[in-house]
Amino acid sequence: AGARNELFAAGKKPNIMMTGLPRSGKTSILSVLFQKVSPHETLFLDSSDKVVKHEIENSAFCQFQLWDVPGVNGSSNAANAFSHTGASLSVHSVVSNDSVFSDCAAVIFVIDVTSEETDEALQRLHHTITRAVATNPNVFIEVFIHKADALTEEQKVQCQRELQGRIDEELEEVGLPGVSARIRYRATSIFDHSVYEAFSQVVQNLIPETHTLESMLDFLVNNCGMEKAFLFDVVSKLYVATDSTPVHPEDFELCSDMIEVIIDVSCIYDSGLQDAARASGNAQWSGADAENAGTGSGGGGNGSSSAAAADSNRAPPPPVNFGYQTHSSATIRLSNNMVLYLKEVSNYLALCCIVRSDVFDAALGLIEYNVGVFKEGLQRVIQYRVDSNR
Amino acid sequence: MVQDKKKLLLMGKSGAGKTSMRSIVFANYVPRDTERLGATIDVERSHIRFLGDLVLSLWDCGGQDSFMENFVGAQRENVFNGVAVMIYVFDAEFRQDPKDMSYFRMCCESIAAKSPQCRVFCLVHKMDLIHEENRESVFAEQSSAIRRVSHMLPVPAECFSTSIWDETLYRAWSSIVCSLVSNVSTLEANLRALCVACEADEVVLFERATFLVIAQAHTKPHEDVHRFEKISNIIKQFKLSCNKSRSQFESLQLQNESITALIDNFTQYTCVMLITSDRRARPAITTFNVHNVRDYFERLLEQVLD
Ligand SMILES: Nc1nc2c(ncn2[C@@H]2O[C@H](COP(=O)(O)OP(=O)(O)OP(=O)(O)O)[C@@H](O)[C@H]2O)c(=O)[nH]1
Ligand SMILES: Nc1nc2c(ncn2[C@@H]2O[C@H](COP(=O)(O)OP(=O)(O)O)[C@@H](O)[C@H]2O)c(=O)[nH]1
Ligand SMILES: [Mg+2]
Repeated sequence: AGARNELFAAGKKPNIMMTGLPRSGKTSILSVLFQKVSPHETLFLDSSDKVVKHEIENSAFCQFQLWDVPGVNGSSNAANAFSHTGASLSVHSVVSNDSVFSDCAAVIFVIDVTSEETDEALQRLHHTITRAVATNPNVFIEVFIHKADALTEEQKVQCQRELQGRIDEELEEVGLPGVSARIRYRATSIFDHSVYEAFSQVVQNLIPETHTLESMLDFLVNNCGMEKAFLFDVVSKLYVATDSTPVHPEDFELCSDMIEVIIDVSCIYDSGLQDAARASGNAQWSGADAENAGTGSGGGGNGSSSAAAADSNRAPPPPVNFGYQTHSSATIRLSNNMVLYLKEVSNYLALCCIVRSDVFDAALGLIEYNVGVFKEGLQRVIQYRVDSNR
Repeated sequence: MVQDKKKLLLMGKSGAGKTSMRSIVFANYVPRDTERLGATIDVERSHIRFLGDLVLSLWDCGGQDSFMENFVGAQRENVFNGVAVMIYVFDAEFRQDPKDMSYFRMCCESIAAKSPQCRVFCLVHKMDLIHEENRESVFAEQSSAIRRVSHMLPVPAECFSTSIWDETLYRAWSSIVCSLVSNVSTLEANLRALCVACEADEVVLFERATFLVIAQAHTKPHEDVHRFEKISNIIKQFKLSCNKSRSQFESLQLQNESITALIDNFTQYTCVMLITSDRRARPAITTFNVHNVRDYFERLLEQVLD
């Protein structure tokens, strides 16, 4: 573990805005992804009418601000003031003030497929799109067709087609047909990997080095005869890059589950974590304290691991890299003659590759060498990024 | 080989979570799938092979009143005769239910009369629905109520707090199933020898299909007494995600600054985990040692189960 991972000044980090009608699942998505709340626990989330800003400071490529902007019905909630990190904004002023859009690199609009309020959602989406585009023509617009666990594969496709048709039509009417092509639709659910995959792709749009990372991974995969390689942000389990071959959801799921297994096992046997837990006396870790303690002691990851979260008294949020461990590497062998190979390649970044076992056994040395080369290249990319942002 | 058949009763009121637990532990359900389960009608019997030679005959008894009346009434002989283990499940949210308590008392009376050797396990279940800070007191309160009601049992009931959403499920079921393996101590003595020979911190034996903990040995203290059940839960979840992509988990090896962990298929029906913090230990040698003792443990397990 290294120094605090706040690599960029707050103003230089891209903003992602998350919006949609009340109860559509915005807060659930964010808490599952970034606070390690388990999906079934989101049932207990209170519907909030406050704008909440999260600073995400994980790996070098996972640095952004998230705005959780509740959908407000009418203007009834306009009086609800809120304050976060000093700023005091009412929901209404945030939602009606166009400057929030101009700072926004991506807008994620969440539509609940199980809700009856589709008309209202679309109206609101339309409103959001036109304002976002007017203030920032380059904004990425993402529509999450959410709670898709309630749908079959066929229904997902159908649902997306319908929504897209209606949105395109409306945009054409107001003279913004060009915008349609820039909207991405993704079916998501917090109960499977779809929300991780969708959010990964949103984040990749905002990473200027995406193409560099992709060609570095292509080089690695081709030289070692690998099937697939992902570069993961360990804390969030989002992948920040992959090689240029198509992503099969099963591959992503396996790699993502492997990271989770390795984090969990590492944390159980991490003497550093046990010491920290003992020193803190467990109970006082909460809110802002936790953040400071986490980052100060070499962490910086937000959220706590699922393994530790089960402890009583809201156990200390450990700096879940792989606990306090560095130089982690792991292999998992599967019966279909595939090997999953994981290697920590930088602070909070892990490479996860799928390799055929005959290739792996014959060329482990070559793989390790090339991963070393990748690691060095990655270090240069990160250094360049940090230097040019100072 | 003599077949050793053990009868397990799974009882408790309707909706308490009996079928859910058994489906997760023995039938590879993921916790969320259990939302689709319907109420059990009468009794669902299943035969489960555990460690090869141990056959569990699990009676999942539907908990609706009409069935319960029948079990403690007309069917009493049939249900409570020759029981090795009774598992009674209480819903943590409805734990004060007097009717449930009176059914529990009747079941205990029947057990005391018909199967006095039977071990009784009480699970205070769905703990995830209780606020974290109240869990301990809820459990303590319910355990003492259970003790009061079940005083007639020759072997006192053992209580666990459980939830399908975390490792507590594996903790309880590992204890339940291990109570049926007569010679765990022989197994542990041998594991200890292996642990020492490999210069490992600890060695744990899991049943392969369920990933329940069977036995363990360690040479180095560790604060977290529930770590093995956590590993059960972690690996079982991962096995299920492997199945989704039509493959099976075979082994895991992890190395970082402070430990080397190996989880590997061991005997035909078990997996083993070795944790080593000795920096001189080489993973390849550990793997080699594990391979070498396989046959020995294969025979040992057969003896232990006889
Ligand atoms: N929150 C929570 N829900 C659970 C847990 N265990 C089971 N459930 C839910 O409880 C419901 C009823 O579970 P069943 O397993 O069918 O109950 P049962 O005891 O078999 O009921 P009968 O067959 O009618 O006797 C299901 O919807 C499960 O998903 C748990 O630990 N926590
Ligand atoms: N079935 C299902 N329910 C979800 C999903 N995501 C969120 N929910 C539920 O939707 C409800 C509202 O979520 P919340 O995050 O409070 O919505 P917000 O008002 O948009 O922030 C909660 O009860 C969640 O448990 C999902 O992917 N599938
Ligand atoms: Mg049932």
